[in-house]
Amino acid sequence: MADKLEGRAKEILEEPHYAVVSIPRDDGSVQAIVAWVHPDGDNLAVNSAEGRAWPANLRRAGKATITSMATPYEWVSVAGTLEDDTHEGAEQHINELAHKYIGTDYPYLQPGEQRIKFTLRPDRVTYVNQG
Amino acid sequence: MADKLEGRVREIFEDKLYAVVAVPRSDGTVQSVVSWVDTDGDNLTVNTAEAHGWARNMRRAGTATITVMAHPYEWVTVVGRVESDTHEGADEQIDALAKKYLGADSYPFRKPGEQRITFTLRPERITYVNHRADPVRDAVADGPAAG
Repeated sequence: MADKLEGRAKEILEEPHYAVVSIPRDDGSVQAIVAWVHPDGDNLAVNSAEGRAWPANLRRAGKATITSMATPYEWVSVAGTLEDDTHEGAEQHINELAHKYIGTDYPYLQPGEQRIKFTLRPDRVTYVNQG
Repeated sequence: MADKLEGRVREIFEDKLYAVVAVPRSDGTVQSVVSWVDTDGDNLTVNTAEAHGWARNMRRAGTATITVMAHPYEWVTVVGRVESDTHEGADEQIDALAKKYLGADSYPFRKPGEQRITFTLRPERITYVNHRADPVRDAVADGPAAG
């Protein structure tokens, strides 16, 4: 168990694998959604839009676990604490993610949509390689 | 939001797709592992070994959220309540899962003395997301694949 993103754990998150973001709900259950993810220095960044349920939940909980599979037998899971939550640069960030995953600027932006960039600091990094 | 496994949701769980199982830890964080999953029709079943941390966590929490992607734009997530937790039939069940996922007649990764467990989870909240047809329109819905 590590608390740094490095080696294969970081590489997997740099590759265009979709992530499952799991967030504790206040009723004790877990909300999970599929999202784009990318390392941001030592941290992980995800992007959402105001008005959705999961960013509200992430703000309340202040933490999330992000899991991404390179293959079913090689995957990484990062439990992180919310470090930053900002509108600034969030549109540029969703465009960067879109380039990584689909090779274009983000094509789904809605009129008036306010994007959010969330940055999570890794507290616990689990890398599994069952070969 | 539904609480029954039916239609595409059920098909996705019957298919040999890997699941992410997310379990609340007692410190308020979430543990998340990749796992095989199956359905008995109404419930979801997963199989682990006593030695694994997530088994203990799942017993304590009594809940887990199981997410499967059929495609990055078509996925399902189920919040489940632990309905039963048993050693009985757990060896046979891991063999059945090995058949489903690997086409093997028996689970090839069994360790000597390993005690398998079958967890059965009753769906409480099912979210099915499908943006394959119209990603632009559906991108405004909650929890989209596209960010």
